[in-house]
Amino acid sequence: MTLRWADYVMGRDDTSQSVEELWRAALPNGGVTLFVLGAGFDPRAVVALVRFLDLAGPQLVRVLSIALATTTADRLTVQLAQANRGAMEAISTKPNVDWRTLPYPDVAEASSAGLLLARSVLSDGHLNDVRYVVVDVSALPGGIYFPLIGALLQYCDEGKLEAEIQVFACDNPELDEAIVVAGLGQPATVGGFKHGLDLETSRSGTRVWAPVLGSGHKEALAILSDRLRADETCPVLPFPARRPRLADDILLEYRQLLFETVFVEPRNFIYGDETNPFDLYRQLSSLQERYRTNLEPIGDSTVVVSTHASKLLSVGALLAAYEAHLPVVSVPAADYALAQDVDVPRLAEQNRLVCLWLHGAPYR
Amino acid sequence: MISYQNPFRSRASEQQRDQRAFLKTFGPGAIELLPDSLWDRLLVLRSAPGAGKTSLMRIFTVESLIAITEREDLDDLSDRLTEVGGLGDKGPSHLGVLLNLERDYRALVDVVSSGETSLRLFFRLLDIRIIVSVMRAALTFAGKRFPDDAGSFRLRLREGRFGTEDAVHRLGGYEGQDIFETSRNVERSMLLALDSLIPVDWATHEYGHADLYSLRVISDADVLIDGAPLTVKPLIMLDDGHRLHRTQRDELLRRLADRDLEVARWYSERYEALTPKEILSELGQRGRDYELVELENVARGITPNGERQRFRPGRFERVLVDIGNRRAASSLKLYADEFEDFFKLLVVDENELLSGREDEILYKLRARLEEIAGHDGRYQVWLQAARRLTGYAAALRYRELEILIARDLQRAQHELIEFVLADAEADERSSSALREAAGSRLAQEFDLPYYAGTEMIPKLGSQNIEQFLSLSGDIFAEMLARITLQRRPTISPVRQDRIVKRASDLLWREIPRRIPHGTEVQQFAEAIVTMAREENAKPTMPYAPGVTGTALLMSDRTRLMNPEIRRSVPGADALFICLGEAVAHNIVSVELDQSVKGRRYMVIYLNRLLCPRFGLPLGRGGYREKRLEVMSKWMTGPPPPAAKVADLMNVELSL
Repeated sequence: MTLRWADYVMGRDDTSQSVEELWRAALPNGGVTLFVLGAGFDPRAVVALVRFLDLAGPQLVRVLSIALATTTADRLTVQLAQANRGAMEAISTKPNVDWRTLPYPDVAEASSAGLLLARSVLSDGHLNDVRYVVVDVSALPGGIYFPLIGALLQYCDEGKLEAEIQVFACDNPELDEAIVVAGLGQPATVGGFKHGLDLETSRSGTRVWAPVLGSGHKEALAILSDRLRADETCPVLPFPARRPRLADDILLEYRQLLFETVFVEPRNFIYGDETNPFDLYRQLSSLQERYRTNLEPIGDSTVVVSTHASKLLSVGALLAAYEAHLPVVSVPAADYALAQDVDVPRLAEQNRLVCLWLHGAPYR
Repeated sequence: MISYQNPFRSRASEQQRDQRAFLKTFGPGAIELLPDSLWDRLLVLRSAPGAGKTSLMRIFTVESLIAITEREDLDDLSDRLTEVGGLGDKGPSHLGVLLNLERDYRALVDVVSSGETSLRLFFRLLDIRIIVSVMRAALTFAGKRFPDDAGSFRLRLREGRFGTEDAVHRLGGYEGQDIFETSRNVERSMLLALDSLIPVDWATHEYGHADLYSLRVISDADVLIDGAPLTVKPLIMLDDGHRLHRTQRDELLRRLADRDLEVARWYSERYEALTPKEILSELGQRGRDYELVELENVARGITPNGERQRFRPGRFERVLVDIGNRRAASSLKLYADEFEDFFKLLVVDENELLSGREDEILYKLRARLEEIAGHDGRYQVWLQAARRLTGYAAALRYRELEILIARDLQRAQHELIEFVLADAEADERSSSALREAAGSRLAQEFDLPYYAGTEMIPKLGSQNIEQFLSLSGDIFAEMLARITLQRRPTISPVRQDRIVKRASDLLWREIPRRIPHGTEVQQFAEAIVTMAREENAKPTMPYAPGVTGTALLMSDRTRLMNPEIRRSVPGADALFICLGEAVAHNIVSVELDQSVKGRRYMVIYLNRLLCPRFGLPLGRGGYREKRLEVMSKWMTGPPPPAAKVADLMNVELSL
């Protein structure tokens, strides 16, 4: 099995490989840089953009801001959204910034939004003359950045786009946990990642569920467990993690689901490095390969992924799902809000920028 | 060490995958929820999530019917299915196929820009899935494999109705292999385009068609396997219709309701209380052109005018007890050599409810009665009769007399000569609702266990099988703990009460995370709770067994569904949204068109499992009506402070 990102390129604030170095290497001599970000209440929304624009200097940066509406009346959440709007307005007036806003689509099915946005990015002229694309997932929900990154990679793979593709994440697992779901929608496949799940005309095969676990998602996991009815479950725990007991805490939190409802075999647990998405990418890719090879004589097998963890681990799952055509399922949130009593400035001290170079010069 | 499994918690995976386990734990009594006319017209099933729609339909799938026929230990289930026509003398009489409408259809509206194209794609996708499901079921019935034996399947038209032949060709033809290949190609290419990350030009695709042809074909054709016609008739069951877009749903229902179809078809969807336009009224007359079953209402014994009452109040609870006993039986035998039923292990000696504080409680109750009526000769016989009782019966009687005396003292006009009230008169004025009110107040005032016993636990299910199983799972977990300690798995009322209160609190705390607009839903529920607590604290308990709900005039409900009126009534928009979510997620249940004193109401009750958290009784019947303006105002104020919410909960949650 040859993995596309076996030799990967990643920069991180607290390592010797700085993110700025990777940005510099990817910045084109000519052409336009497209920077895609989410405009909601997440306090990390402009952290990467501000640093990136400092480095880009006079080069033209086309910023595509995806409007994320929130209906919550929570005071802190509303204040943070206002602060982000103010910061973005200030940035949009800079001379080297071509600021564009992509409205959130009005959809009947929540999971369609990401697909429609991804198609819009590809087809509405935002990629004209673009040589370098950055997707900053820091303030984007998975339902948006999965199809978006998938679409960009596919466009490049089909030769329709010649560009460097980098994903930025302002890594802060504590903040990821502090952003809580306010109401759940219906379970569905993530746009662009159905990959043959639930075809009525297929013969039934073995279904393996690999939920990438983080705290605070008991309800979503229960819904997915009911929806998928997997033959086997291989939960992914974040380990090593910044907080060494995190995996233990997650096990305790979901013990009823894992051990009384879906009967996870202890040997089925997968451990993914919380700080390195390529580690989880490798693990999930090999899981799929293992099941495919071992169960081939008795039929098809499908590893279905769902992500309930930090941004970085989710990106790892995305890469595996894109490359190995794994279905990705989720329970889209009706809304998000910040948990009560969150000390945002204190949490912001833990921000670490991470840059994942997914396509372009290093892989040629 | 033995690893124990909780049979109530494995439902999500094992029960659903394992046909044997599913059949063994299915409560045959639930089949009686269905009406008499099942096969010749559209049957619409409605309920809150978890009420058992899917299980009810799954029992009619060909796989289930075959398994029930083959097994000898499912006689009661077999008998019930024979009674309703699901099984015949030689096995299944219907080729039941169950299709979920949750998958892929709704997204069509978003990703296909034209509404007409999107509807055409919807019909085509549903058509190929229906016909392939029928093929799969037919092959299963004949002991063949899908799709390997697709070549054995064939359609043969019975009569040359106009358009049917064209419909057959649209589905791939008469031969099974052709139908399968066509369906597979269409499904794959359609879903690839639907899920494509790269933009799709739908104008260049020829995927859709203008009608739902599969039902017409199945209706007018015989299914042949290896040339021999099948004796069983197809039954198409479409589950989770609420997941369709409104346009898709309405168009589908119009086609399903066609009385020319000679195929049994069932359709299920989630109950919605605030649907502005009820499509069913356009489809004809209920009972003649279609059947509508609102599962919770049937379970509660509420039926539309003139319809036979299938479930008397309390009957559904007995079905739940049966389901619980079936679930637990083998685990209890295996783990504890216990042959008593699960619910037998929850039987409560009512004196245990006093938690060993009989003397203290009776003394205080007597003292209170003496204070309000001790010097009034009118109540002496009542008091003397009560003094002869002991234990919980005495406590309950004292508390009941307190209410009766308070009511008697409040009479508008006292008699000229006050007669001594006979003991029989107390019995006459008593009722089960009043005793329930007295029991609830007693538990509140003396911090006694209340939510325990074989009658309480099924009631807490709130006519919802999933909720009932979840609560039973919590209780069974305690049984497993006792088994581990080598004790008999009986659970004391104190422990039952605590388990129930913890489950109640969990349900409450999950609302904001689980339900869209959950904070508003909590705000609405808290307004009901506040009103209920005020009413129930009155000495006369005017709404025995106690208020646990509210009601809106049907005319106000109509106003609430009008966007223009909502704009003019502060809070009405929030009420409309939150009430819709609360009903959809079973936080409240709704009874439409209830008649009270000549007026028609929509009665809204709290989910019974929320009642323990707030110390409310479980009996239904107590509600206070409110005008739309008042109810809307509940949504305009700030949510009650967290501290107040905590005060409401006088329970120790740690187990």
